[in-house]
Amino acid sequence: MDLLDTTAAVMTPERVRFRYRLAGPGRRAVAWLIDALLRLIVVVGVMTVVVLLSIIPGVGAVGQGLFLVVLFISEWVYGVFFETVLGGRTPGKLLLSLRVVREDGSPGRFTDYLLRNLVRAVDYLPGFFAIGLTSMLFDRRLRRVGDLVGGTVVVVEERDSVRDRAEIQPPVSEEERVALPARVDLSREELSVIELFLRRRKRLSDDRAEELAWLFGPALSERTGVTAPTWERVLALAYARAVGKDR
Amino acid sequence: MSERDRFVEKGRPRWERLEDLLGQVFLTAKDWSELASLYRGACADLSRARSLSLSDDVHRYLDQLAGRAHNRLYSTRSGSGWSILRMAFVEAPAEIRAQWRFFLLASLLFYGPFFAGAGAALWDVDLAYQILPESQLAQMEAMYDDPDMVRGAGEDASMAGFYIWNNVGIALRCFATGVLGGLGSMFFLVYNGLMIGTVFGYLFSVGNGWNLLAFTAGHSAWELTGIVVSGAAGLKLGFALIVTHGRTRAGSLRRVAPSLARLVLGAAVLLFVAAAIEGFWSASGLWPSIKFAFGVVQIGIVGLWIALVGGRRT
Repeated sequence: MDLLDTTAAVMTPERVRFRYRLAGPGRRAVAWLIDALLRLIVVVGVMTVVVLLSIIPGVGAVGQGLFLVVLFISEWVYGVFFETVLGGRTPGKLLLSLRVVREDGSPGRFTDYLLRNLVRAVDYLPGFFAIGLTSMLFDRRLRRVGDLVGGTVVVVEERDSVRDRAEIQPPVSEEERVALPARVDLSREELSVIELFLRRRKRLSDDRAEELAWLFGPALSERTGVTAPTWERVLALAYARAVGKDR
Repeated sequence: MSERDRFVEKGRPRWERLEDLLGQVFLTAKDWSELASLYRGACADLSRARSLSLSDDVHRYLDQLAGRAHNRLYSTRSGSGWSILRMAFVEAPAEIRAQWRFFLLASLLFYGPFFAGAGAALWDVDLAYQILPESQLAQMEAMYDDPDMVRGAGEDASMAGFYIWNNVGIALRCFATGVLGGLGSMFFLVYNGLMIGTVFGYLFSVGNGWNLLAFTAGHSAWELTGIVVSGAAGLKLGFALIVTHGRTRAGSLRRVAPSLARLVLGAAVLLFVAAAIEGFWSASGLWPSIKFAFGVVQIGIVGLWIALVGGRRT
């Protein structure tokens, strides 16, 4: 598993590599809180039923026993059970698109889930997940101690989209077209960078877009001779001329 | 239309169908085979996108799509119910035999302080007060004052629940803290051995010892062995971190992980049985002689389970 920033590449049986984004403490904490809330709801629910039923003589003590078993399950069984049944996900992880996989990217197995969930008892120590957070801080793959023992990592299963199109808004005007140099040569990487920028443009604020364009705009303007009031427009115009979209 | 847009245009219907399938919770056999072929298609697209060095968002999109499909496709239900039960009841005792060194060490760490505590309290009752607070010992004395401490049926269930939550929880913590170089497990073993031993010695020296022994006869074989096995698992975990045989520490852990899982499941089995017996049998009003006979049978069962079940494990 190669490591680049917080992504990890995995080689599949199909001889294809793809990358996973590793999940950080923040996102995992939110998933944990959701799970904790679900467990709390179940435990409080069972407790309410037990208290209500305790009016019937003899049933109260049985209810107590049941309640303690539920408490045990919520503390020690919840995580292993759901991760085994839902392929590495608890309800909280499901909601946050997280998944537990083995370090080599292959799917986890029951024993992996068992160990990582048992050792969470140590990650909690001495309070507020201190050991777990420290471990994640020092581990390049953001593993807590339970992950180290279980041989697992937690990854984000991002949903992405390729629907956005590279648009030039507003379209190149007649004046701009005339002012453009006759030829703009852009390398493949340059084209791909600008294209990506144009695709993402709709999701960026104007200020952020200009800030990003400033990284490349001045150099591009100097080299190709394209000029415009904003750096963003410099990128758009250069791109339009290079691929013939200025008409 | 750029090369990238043509590529996306061509692939999108298939990718979207794959997204659809991934979004479904339940898949039919036909869906699975379609998912498999669409996944291979997405892998091929991903390779092509790389070799054409199409723009980065296409890579990213296909990365996550192929990744999700890969996880869905290959996360077969590895831990079927039966294989887990088999691990807990059949493979665990064989693993205990294979790890006899850790089992022996854990036994020494537990029974050593146990007999030390019991001996000290028998020799001089005052020593018991040095180990445990007087109030706690007095409470124990009162609890086992009555030879037949009969509880109602409901109370039995309540106590069984308590033993599961408390005792099994302690054993699981005893294992987990082994990750601190084995120190946590050592502490749990020594501490619990000393406490239990002291209580035994104290009650015998004040005259309630036989009541306690009759009460604990039925479940003690299961419970004490369960504690020792969980401790042995913790010690093995700690040992694997320290003595790596030239592997990385993570790699060393990886190597012992299956063995740890089997030991922990075995400990859980022992402690669940102990909780059931302690809850529903130990406090019954039967004659002590029956309880002792039952206890001897339990020792036999636990002994045979560990000695014989599961065949050889290499």
